[in-house]
Amino acid sequence: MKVVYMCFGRAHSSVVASAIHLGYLDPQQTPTVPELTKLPLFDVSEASDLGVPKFVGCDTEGCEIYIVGLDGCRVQAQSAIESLAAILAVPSREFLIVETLGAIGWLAKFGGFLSRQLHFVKIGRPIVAHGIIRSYDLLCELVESVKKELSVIAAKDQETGNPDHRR
Amino acid sequence: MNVVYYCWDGIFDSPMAAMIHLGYLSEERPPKIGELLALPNYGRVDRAAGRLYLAGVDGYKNAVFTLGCLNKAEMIQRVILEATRQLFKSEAQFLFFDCQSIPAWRCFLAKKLAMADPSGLRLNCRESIKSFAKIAAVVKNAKENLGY
Repeated sequence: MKVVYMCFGRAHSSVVASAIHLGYLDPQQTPTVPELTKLPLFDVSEASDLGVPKFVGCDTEGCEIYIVGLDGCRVQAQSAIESLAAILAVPSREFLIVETLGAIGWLAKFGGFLSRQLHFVKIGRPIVAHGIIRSYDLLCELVESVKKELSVIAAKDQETGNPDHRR
Repeated sequence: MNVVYYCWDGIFDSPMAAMIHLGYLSEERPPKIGELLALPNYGRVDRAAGRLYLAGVDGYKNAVFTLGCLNKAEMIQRVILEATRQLFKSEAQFLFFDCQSIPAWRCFLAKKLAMADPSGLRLNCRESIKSFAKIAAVVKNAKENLGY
């Protein structure tokens, strides 16, 4: 199973969501600004990274976690990935695409714009970190819902006898 | 090999290119309006941008797809290529050919009109026929790239 967290620039919300999913950030405790900025992929992506799924690790259940930035064409790119999976005969239950941008507010988006688009990193990075902290509960809820969905898929696969549901 | 013809919305130019490639339309003469409207994938307003639609398989067993990219062709192509490698760990090859000929505003307008009344497609039929030479040249180029 593969989970793809997607956002605008693969720099903030998808990075934090994947960190929560992988246990690098505690969902019970809101992180501090230094804790967020210390994440290896936080606020570092470049334009050349857009559209490229990045593998960030496997969770405790063996699911592969990816992050991807899809700029302003998230709907079209998601359609592209889904149709591609059908062409490559990858069953739809083997991957899950999760939009993370909806879980963060304007402050994080504004800070992200300053840092990534305008390259005002010193100003933008703390702003985006504060924005993420304000939206942290929503990101945790999103990840929790993803984990629940994964467990439902796994249960269904076990019922139907699909042995490689964690492939 | 997977051959992908792409245009703005994947409704007019790319289906025509795919049909020329697959031999449903002549490479030599422009189609008539009736021939265009009879094609199974021309003017399909229900098609979503970004999604790859299989038009058929050519005589060399290459799959031919149509794709609408809006104004994000480079990004959509990158997503398809990178997802193939990194996400799905596949060796599948994709070749993309831009066959955009009708202006985007005209495609948008024709699509909106056709959603209200199918005769709205006729707004672009004549444009498609006018674009025949350009689209046939793209297909010829694609076939040369494929070594036909």
